[in-house]
Amino acid sequence: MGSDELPPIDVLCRANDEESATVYEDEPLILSVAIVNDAAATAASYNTPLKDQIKELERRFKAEKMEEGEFKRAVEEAERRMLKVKIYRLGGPLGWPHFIKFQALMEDAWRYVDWPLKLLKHHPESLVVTLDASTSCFVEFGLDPQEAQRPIGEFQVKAVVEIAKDIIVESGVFTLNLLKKKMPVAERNKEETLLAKGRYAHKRGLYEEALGYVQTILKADPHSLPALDLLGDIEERRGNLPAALSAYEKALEEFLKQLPDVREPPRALENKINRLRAHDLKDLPKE
Amino acid sequence: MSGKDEEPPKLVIVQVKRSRRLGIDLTLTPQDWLPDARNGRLVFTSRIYEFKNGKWSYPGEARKITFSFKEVSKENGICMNYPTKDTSNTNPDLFFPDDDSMKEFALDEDETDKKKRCPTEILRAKDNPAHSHHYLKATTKKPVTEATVTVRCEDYGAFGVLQAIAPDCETIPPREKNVEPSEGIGPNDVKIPRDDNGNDIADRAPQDKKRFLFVRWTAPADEDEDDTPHTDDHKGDGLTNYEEYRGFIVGKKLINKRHIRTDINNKDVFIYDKDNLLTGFFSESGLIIHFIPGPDFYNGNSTEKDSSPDAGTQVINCNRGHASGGEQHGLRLVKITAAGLYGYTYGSGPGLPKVTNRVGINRDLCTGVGEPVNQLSATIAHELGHSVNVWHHGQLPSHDHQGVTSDPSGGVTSGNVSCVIRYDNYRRIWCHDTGAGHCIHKIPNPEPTGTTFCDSQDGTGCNASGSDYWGDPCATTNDAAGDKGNCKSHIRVKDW
Repeated sequence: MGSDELPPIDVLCRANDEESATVYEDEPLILSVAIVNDAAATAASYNTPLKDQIKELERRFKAEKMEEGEFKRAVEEAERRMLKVKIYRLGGPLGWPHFIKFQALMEDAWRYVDWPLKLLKHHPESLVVTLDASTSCFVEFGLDPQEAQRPIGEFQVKAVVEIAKDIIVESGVFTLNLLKKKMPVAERNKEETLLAKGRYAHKRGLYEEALGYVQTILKADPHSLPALDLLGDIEERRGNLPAALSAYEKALEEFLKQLPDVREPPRALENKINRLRAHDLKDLPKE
Repeated sequence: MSGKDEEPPKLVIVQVKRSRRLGIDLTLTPQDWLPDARNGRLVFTSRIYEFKNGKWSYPGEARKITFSFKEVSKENGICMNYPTKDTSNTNPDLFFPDDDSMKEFALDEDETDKKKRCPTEILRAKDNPAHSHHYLKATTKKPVTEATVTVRCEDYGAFGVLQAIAPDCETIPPREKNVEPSEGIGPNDVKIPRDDNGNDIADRAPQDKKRFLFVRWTAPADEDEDDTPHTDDHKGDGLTNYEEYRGFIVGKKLINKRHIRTDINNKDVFIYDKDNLLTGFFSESGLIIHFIPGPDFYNGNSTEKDSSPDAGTQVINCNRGHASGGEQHGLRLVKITAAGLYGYTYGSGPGLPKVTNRVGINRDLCTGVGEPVNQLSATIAHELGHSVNVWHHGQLPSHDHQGVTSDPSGGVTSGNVSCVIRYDNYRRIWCHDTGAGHCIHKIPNPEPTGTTFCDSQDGTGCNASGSDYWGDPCATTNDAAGDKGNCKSHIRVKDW
């Protein structure tokens, strides 16, 4: 496949949300890969007014304000002007994250890594994802802190995505420096660090561990909005719904106190509260 | 005065009128040529003729031929958004290159900014070879009857007027390549590119003419009248016809970047999507979405704050000059981790791109447990909507009623339930004041998100009287309030 024929798929890979990262051995690493079809988004935006035009033509035709021949010609012209892009599908029975791998530059050659990466999250959750105009699909893989087989050293890394049998799309190359030393104590006790560890443990399903980090934060600062929010998430996943509701309500209270001028209300937090409150309403329909 | 000092006999100079009449012409710019900043090249041939038997015949007498630019554009950078303003220069956009193609010429009138180098990479590495001079005058080293000169282009919107002169030669109007010269005399000025209607936009470019059905007429360079999507008295996208023609470098990443000339009828919006969030359902707005590969393609990111962007930053037409209307801003889309918020439009809006610092999306929350499948796509469209002047469907809830929030009529949850701007899910267990009392909404869990921008204030689904929206007992007419709702009609991008 020549470079001009590359699919319009963009793959972006980040390490702990950064373009390059230095990670201590007691710090988790999250490799996130976001895959989008930007050509589809541009084409869809171009086609929207044409689709609206067709709807208007249909309305006029139904209202007998247009003759059939004129109507058909106008619709054909609008359809002819529409941009067509190829829509790609990613995935299979094993799930689409299975088609995402990482390569590192080792001895002057790109080789697939066999690091003990754990799948943390992927969106959408379906086995196959259609890379269309509105879909931003992403996957997160984690490398546990203190993992015995954790690699050490500086690596040039890239994500490699198999879109179809013969179509491979790669991310840009980034530098990953995995240190063989622990994080300095001053860094270790920062709220930001504890939150990152708590969120990682939560994503890994290690709820007790996650709770530990959150409690450490709340001990130092009982008003920490992100810690209260995370506490709600952890308790909800543990099935402890009253505790989750209480944490979310406290978080909402803190949000309104700390950020009184924010123009957009904390919908996500309110939705979490509503969802838990609604839990008792037995006759709620499911989507 | 003595006789010894008598003056010598005077030399009588007889002026002999030359019987030969010479003329010089120049070939026209090829009809299909459009300016290309990547070492774009053009050749022009000039010939000297002798007037014989009532017409110009080639060859005439050899002369040194001088080519020069009567006019030439000197726009900042090479297109509207590259390079950044502090690194771009105003060197002539058309010039005679100092290379082998011009070895038969003596070059003069160098107008090069020595402080700011021209970019050598425009789309790919070294696609604009390094050069130190921008000559505007070239004269053949020897007398000739024909000379072919090379003109190099370094701007996607370059324009200018080239002429050729030679001693004792009248000028003959320019001709097409490989055709006989004109019979008369007149300036041999050649417009680069072809521009018969004088709007500095190539005749061949679609931006040269406006169109309505089968009628076409000249598009003025400084006009901005895009009208698709059609919205309430808000024509334009902040980019004049010349700016749309001069174009932009776009693409999701650097290795895929390309130059485009945008449509003068369709409103364009430029987005730097740093974290590959894509634009969700925002494509339903009807604005043409273009991605830029990095902050260097809209004059840098602003500092992060909850107010308008820093002056001069995030300006998509940062290299504007000729036929400009004003600054037009691009949008910055980023991932955020703010607790409690699906997304947030940082700036002093909702309003225009010029008051939008950045659009933040909490990807983790939007894709969290229990969230509707389209929450991410809907949130992105909702927040981007705020950055193009779309406001909520109405006011936020005002009071609690017996522990649940009261949903006012014409509030944030009102109007079309398919609209991304409407608050879905929000009133799942809210009460609604029906006039006769309060009634608890019965909304699906989770409620589907909106997927489009509404085109009317009318309530649909649970907001339509008598509807059977998931059996909601509170379904009642709840149209968007006042001047809210009908979101498509409020979309506005033009910053000036």
